[in-house]
Amino acid sequence: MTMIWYIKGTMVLFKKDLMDAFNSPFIYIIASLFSLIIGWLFFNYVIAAKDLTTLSITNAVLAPVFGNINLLFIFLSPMLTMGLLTQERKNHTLELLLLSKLNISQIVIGKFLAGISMAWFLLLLTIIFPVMIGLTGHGDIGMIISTYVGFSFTLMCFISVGLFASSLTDNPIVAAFMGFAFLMLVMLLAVSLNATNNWMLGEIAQYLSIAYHFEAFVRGEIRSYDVVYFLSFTGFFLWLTKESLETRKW
Amino acid sequence: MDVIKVNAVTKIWPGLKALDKLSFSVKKGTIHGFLGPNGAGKSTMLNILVGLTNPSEGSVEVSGTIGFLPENPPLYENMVVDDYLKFVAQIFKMEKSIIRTQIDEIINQCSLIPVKKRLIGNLSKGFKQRVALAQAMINNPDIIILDEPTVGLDPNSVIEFRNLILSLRCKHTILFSSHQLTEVDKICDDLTIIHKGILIESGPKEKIKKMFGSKQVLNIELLNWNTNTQNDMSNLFGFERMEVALKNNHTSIKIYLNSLQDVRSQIAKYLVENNCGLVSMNEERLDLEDVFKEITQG
Repeated sequence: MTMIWYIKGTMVLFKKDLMDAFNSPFIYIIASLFSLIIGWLFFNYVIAAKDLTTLSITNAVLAPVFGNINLLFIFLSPMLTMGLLTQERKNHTLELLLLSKLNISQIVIGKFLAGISMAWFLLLLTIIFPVMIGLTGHGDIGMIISTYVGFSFTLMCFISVGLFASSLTDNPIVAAFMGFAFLMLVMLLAVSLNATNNWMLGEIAQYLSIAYHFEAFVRGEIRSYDVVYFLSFTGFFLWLTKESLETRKW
Repeated sequence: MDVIKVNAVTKIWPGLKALDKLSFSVKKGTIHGFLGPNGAGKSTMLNILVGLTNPSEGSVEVSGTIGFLPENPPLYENMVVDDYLKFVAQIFKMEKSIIRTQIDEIINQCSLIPVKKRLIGNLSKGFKQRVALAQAMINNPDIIILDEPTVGLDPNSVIEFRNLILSLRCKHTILFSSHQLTEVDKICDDLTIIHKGILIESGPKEKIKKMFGSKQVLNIELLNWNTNTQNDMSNLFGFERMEVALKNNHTSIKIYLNSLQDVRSQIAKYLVENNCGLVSMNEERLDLEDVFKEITQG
């Protein structure tokens, strides 16, 4: 298969799913809910920051807001991805895709890109907060950029987990819960390592946790081993999704 | 020449043997009917043919491209017919330059012009089925496989759909499944019948009709009936079996005939001449399930 067809075929599916997503009210409902919560949190942190003198405004306002955005995405991204493969299965259009000239990895990547685009649409709504802080003259451009790079990576992880969950069932609600449960589990690894006295186990749990790798980005650090972690995490779940679609034949 | 060859295919789902050493072949340029009652394994076999399912044992050989209309039409309800066909053409890797002309031709062929710009979700079942057929034909396949294409359509749509299938026979080989004998009887050249995953018979229609479908069954309602008439008729027409029931003041009889030709007019003539008070007579169409009942009972 030529590279050109690989990209072209993937894009056809991606475009269709993107149209689907943005033609339905669902994404706008999620987006408004998301903006409401984040806007309210931002407002609260700004109010609280006026009493604090020891922290910079970036650390007092933006850092916690960014942490909350990441947490919210654990809930929201399984909702964004829940329909991607469940709907195809329910409408029996998955058979159409599997019979077409697209191979399974093209289907997985196309769906993944559609999920990422939806997540990025939500994320773009949050750009207003650093811009507002920046206009006051307190912004830290380097930290903001590294945080959004970090967001891109965590979203890749979240979406790939959600996509895998949606390949397992034909019920979107079940898919959303499975995706959410798994992401919560990975997130909680960071918390549970406090409870262990075993240093080795603690280190491993810490390395496996998404939150631990994301933290560095919020501090303005971009470390290569975090990037490796995110890419391999995403790659692993995309591979699982592909395998899950392939087992349909058996 | 055989375009499809199925060699001893077995498919085992957990706890269920769906297909058991099934073998048959489909000749080029024919309309081949694939018959069996519900749950016989028809859809499983067709899914194996198109490559959606792998067989547990055995193999299939298909020469040529396949267009497939599954039992549940694979439609995006929120897409416009025209866009949907364009999407299908694209994922089937068709040349950009010929997509437009090909879609227009197929829309024409499937009589979809009035609904071309409408959402698939708002179409009637008959139109949806035609869109799904258009999808199967989009890349001009050599073989078209249809899985119970007329189930759930109203009688008029069934006739239109049947004519549409007939109009395709010059260009394509068609394999289609059904559980209604009368349905395939009208359009098929060859037949394959399966039951519980086992091949019952495969071959030209005429040959198989003699074995299964040729028995005529008549429902007759009479005012006057006695055992003399019964014996008399039995000698004249050669029944295989007769069921007599008394309904109000009518006698209703059900006759299973042995003969191959239609004897309705002779029976009617006999009943009128003997003053039996013929009220009604109609021919019962044997569904495949009835035929199987017949076979297993006999």
